[in-house]
Amino acid sequence: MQANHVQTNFPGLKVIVMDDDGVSRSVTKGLLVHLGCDVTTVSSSDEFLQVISQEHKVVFMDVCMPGIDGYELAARIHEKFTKRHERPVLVALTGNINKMTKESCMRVGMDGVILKPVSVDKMRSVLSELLEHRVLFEAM
Amino acid sequence: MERTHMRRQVGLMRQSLFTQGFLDEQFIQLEELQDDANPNFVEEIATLYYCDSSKSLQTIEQALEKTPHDFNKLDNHMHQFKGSSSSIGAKKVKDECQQFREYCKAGNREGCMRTFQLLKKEHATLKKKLEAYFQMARQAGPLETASRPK
Repeated sequence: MQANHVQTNFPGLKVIVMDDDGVSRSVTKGLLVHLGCDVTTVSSSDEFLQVISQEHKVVFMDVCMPGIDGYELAARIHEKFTKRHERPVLVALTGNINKMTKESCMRVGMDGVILKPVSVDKMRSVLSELLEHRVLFEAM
Repeated sequence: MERTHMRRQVGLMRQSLFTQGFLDEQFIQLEELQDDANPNFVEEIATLYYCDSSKSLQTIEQALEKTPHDFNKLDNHMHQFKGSSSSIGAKKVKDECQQFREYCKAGNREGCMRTFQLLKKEHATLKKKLEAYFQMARQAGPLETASRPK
């Protein structure tokens, strides 16, 4: 991606961060707030399903969660939002990107997967790419 | 002059945390998120980490005391602990987490026990160093003050 196509700030972009780890959740939130986003954080899938709405444009979710994991949740989000333009863009956050993880994410209809922790520059380019193309699966 | 000296000490202290391998690039990423709206972001995250991670270590310790070891459960606990340690750039802690997970995968009880002790040591060492660093940084004052013209 060329640098001059990368949006540098995302004022008011409504984002949900789902992660059961408080530190990871706070760091991801801090990062997104720094980029201008309006961030809601949740620590479980149950909490997520209570807050998600059409206003939210991007969801960053840890796929390894107790109870309903990120993969199952992605499937439920597809059931809830049948029209693609109403559904938020879904991005998996994981500590380990391998071919299996990527395939699992694609299978359940996630729009992208990124390795955490995420740098400021990386998050900026991820958001820019997602908002432009609604998909982010980098070559592995 | 005193403040300048203190700031220099803070800078040297910070540098040593990286050169001695305690912290990695992720800590710098956290520092980039610190601004006027969040002037204490890094210290807040570190405080949260030490609060949460103490409980995590207790959980892992209890799981290690049970026999036989449930290596899957231990690995899951450590996966999460490694994640939060990575989030603050705690390099040595993260490396011990990874080693622990390797021993879990191998079903190596002795390796897990030994690595866990090393992990606790690194975790405690970093805590002391960060506490000292943040305390000195607070005393030295914000960098903007240092760059203010005379």
